[in-house]
Amino acid sequence: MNGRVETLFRSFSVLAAFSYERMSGVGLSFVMRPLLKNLPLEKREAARRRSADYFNCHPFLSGLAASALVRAEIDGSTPEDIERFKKALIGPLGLVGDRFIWAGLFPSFAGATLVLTSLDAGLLAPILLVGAFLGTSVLIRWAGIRLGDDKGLSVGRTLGSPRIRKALAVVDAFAAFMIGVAVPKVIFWLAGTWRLEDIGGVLAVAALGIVASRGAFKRIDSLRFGLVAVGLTLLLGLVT
Amino acid sequence: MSISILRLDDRLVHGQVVVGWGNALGIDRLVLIDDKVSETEWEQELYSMGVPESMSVDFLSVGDARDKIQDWADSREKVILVIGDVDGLTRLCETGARVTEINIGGVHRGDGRRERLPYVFLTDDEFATLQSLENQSIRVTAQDLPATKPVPLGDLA
Repeated sequence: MNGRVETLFRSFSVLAAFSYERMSGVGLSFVMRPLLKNLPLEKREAARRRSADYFNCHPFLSGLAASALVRAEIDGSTPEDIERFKKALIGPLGLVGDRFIWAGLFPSFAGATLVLTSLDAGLLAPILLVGAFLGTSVLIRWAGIRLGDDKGLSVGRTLGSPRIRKALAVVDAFAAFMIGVAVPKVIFWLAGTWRLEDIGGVLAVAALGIVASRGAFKRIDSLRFGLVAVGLTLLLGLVT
Repeated sequence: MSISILRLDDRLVHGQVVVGWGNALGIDRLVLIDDKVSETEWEQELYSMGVPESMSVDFLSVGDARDKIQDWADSREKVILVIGDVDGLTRLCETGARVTEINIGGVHRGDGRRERLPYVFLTDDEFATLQSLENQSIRVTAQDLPATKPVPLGDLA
């Protein structure tokens, strides 16, 4: 299919037109536009109109959705089937994206950045790993566009295959491992220069956090607690 | 009674259903009720992907689901029923099927639909149909996730 490279570039801006009403539907239409040129002229306009309706998926996989939908159009699916296909893609692409990327790759790279930082890699650590994360993102987007182009309507069979399920489980475990390594490594690295009262302060905040998260103060969730703790620390630092 | 929730959601299977409600309620079985999906293999493949291995999944037509509602209500499994459209929901609730509660989880933009909540868009006909279900002593509320507050159907007018 022509236009795949342009679709790859466009996929980075899929969330730019996000709204509650259509979620990333308008974005998908933008991502899909170069691929629609593969359709005969008389089918193109109708396909373009359909493309901007309600849709949502993980942004890395928007190219996959675009190419699979256009492939289904080329293969002669009825408008009704295209609508159903688009709707059926929302759940799996969101779920695979959340598990594989947000809960898998993202914490893995974050953990690796922390470990490298604690080894005194300095600025190199975030630069290296943000670069690696972006590179992985391009690879996932490109593989997705090719897979959608290749499989069309039957893309679900590949996405649900035992190989992909296994890959998801491996990435999950790897992310847990990386964070498990990074947290104590960073704590020891930071604590190397600490005085006794610093350690006492950290333990006191951690204990407060545990009490709060166990429901002692129901309205204080971990995010609010963290933000308040960081704010107070900054304030104390400025005052003292 | 072990039909944990009957959910109206046009996205059918997605994170809110499987993770949000599935984990919170400890769901054992998800039943996707849709005439077309029950006959189409590629759709079933896609929707199955979204269901974790710890949960069984069935794809049934509205008619078949209506016949089985009593079995699920009596079974030990915790079951979540998901249906995508108001018309199917009405047919499901017809003729004495034991439904006591309906959760509107998400109906999105479409022709003639008006925004009632950020995740609920309904035509006036769909709203009236839901009201008539409520008049049959079925409790109808909108709630996207377990942690949010249920909104009574009357507030969506």
